[in-house]
Amino acid sequence: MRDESVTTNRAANHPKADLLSAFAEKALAGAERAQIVDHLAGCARCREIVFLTQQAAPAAEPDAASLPLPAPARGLRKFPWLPVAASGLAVCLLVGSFVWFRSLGHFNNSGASRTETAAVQPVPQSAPEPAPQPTSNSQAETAPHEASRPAPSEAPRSGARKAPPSAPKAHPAAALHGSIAQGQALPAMEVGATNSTDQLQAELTYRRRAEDKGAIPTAGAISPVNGLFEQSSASAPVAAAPASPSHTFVSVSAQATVTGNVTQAAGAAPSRGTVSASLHGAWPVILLLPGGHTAVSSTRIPGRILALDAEGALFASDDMGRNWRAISLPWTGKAVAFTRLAPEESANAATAELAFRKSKAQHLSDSIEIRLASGEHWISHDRGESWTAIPNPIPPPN
Amino acid sequence: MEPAETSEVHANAEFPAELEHPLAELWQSSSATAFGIAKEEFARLLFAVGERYGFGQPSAKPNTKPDAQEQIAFLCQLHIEDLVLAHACALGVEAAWEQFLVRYREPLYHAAYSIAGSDTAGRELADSLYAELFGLRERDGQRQSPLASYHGRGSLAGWLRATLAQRHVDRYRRQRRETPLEEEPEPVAASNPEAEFAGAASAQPAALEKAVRLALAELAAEDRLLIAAYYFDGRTVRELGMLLGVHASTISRRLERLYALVRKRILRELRAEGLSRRQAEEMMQSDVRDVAENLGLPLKKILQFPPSGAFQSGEAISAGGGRGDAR
Repeated sequence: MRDESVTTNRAANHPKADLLSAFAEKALAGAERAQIVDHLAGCARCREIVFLTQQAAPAAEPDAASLPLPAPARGLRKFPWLPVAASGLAVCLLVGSFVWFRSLGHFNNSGASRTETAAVQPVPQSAPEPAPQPTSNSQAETAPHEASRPAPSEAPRSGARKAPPSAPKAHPAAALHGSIAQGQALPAMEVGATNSTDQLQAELTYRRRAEDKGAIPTAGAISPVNGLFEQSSASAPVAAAPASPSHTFVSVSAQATVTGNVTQAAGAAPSRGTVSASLHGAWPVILLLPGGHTAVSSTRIPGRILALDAEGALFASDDMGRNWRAISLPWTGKAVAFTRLAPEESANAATAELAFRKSKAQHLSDSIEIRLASGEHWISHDRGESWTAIPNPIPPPN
Repeated sequence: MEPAETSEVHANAEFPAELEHPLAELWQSSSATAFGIAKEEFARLLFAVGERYGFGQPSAKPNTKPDAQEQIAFLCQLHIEDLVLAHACALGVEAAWEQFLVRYREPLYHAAYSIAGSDTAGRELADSLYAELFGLRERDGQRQSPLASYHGRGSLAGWLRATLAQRHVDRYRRQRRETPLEEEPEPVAASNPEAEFAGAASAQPAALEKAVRLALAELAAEDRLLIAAYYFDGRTVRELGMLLGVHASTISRRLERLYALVRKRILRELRAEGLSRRQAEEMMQSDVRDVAENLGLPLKKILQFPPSGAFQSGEAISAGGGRGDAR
């Protein structure tokens, strides 16, 4: 069979990105690898690509399926199991995505406008059905595993001219343990920290036991599992995740307990497997506003998120994005972006405009400015409830 | 950018009957159902990827092509979940795009910053790929997305990084070629990468050039890759170790061995041309600028860099004339 994917030392036929990245990840072997090496030996372009690909990779993150599993705890009953519905073979995993969009200046949501999910609704729990009783051989004993704080990613290796913003790493924590029968709920996982706000993405995978796989090797048996996450502690709110991958979620949690359960697709035969979980921190998220729009600009003040949609409507949420309410707008025209005032800006009374701001500012950290498409600027000192036009807006400092 | 139609595999290949059950099992254990990808489409997609890459045996002759077990083993090595996600995204499945955004939007931008070396350039690089990933380009009424050219050989995250790197490198090289001649700091060698090891013959010293070319050509591909990356590109032993999956000290020892071997072979070739040993050694110590230019090599460093302790520090040897990309 003629191979069209790899060539030797010919400038016109470089290996595709798929093969170059596979080489960088050491996923090639034998004749395929030899062909790539032969090409790289004579092609500076492709060598540059491979080394840049390698350098841009985050530091090795532990694979969820290979994480060390915590010691089993006695009895599953001590954990806040959720009722589960079980019926079928292939379990479906929902990646519970707790997402939070920060108003980072260099991010915009235009690419995210394809998301059409409406505001998050609490997920109704389905009526539980009898779950298969675990056998004594497979009594899954798990213990909640506390999540560790994400560490910043490594600075780029030689070759990059400037350190990029650090990227968060996956939590290697919250690994679950042991065999879990279909229909069993997942043990609780402690996530986040009390002194910070984390953006969390919980991901669960379910792998069937080797003896259940038949002809399918381990890699082929990993499958997603539908999970249902609910707040199970009073420490912080966690947005509930609908049991469908078509929804995305908005949540900010300081510290929360995440639980999930394993459901089976209808008609599937019972199976057993292990469940592993990993938590990823600080991903940028998509704010979903009423009407199905995503936020084009947002800002966060203590206890509140303010967001603008593409139409210029202003919304506020006091429950970390779980619910939104529209705020009446005193201006005509379209609001396009937030600008947060720095305390020192408000305190500088060099000009009348700044003095105006200072005189009105009661809580400097709660002062928010909005810029309209017309160039007008409006300011609020009461967390976005009421707004006042700024006659001559001060240009933002460089 | 590579044309998408030469990279895509189309999920309409017919697969052997003996693969039907294993492919069905793979389909059941994947997230294909969540994205509405039917079993047959999934199976044909995987099989098409396998056929494209010869099931991992690109040089297999027609009468020795992989059997069903080898085929399924190859398919199981694919990043199936990533492949399913990319395929669903290329088809425009909304649920797939939601998942893609959550998982890959930020890593894509962070990788772009790292590759481009600055926030501004990185953002521009990421934005251009990000828009194309959504399939904003159309050809013959069909939405085209680069995700259709991802085949699951490596991870999807790695493919995104490689695609970004590819665009960055190609853009950088285009910009360099467009640089007015008067701005060129010094003469450069031919841009054809083949010139790195086989440049045009020069009148003098032709013997040295021939000897170097022959000595390097005798090396195994991985050895040539090491020399090219170390001497031309200025890569460190640590970077080379990461690339080849060995410890940096292994790379150091290997480079020392190669250095001695290349010198020995060059001496042998020069002596075969009729030079005495002393003449050959003097030639290797002489001004090799002309030969270096013809071959696009930092030849002085290759021939004269002292072996003892040369590779212990892990520091790169800077190629003569800047980055040694043989221009």
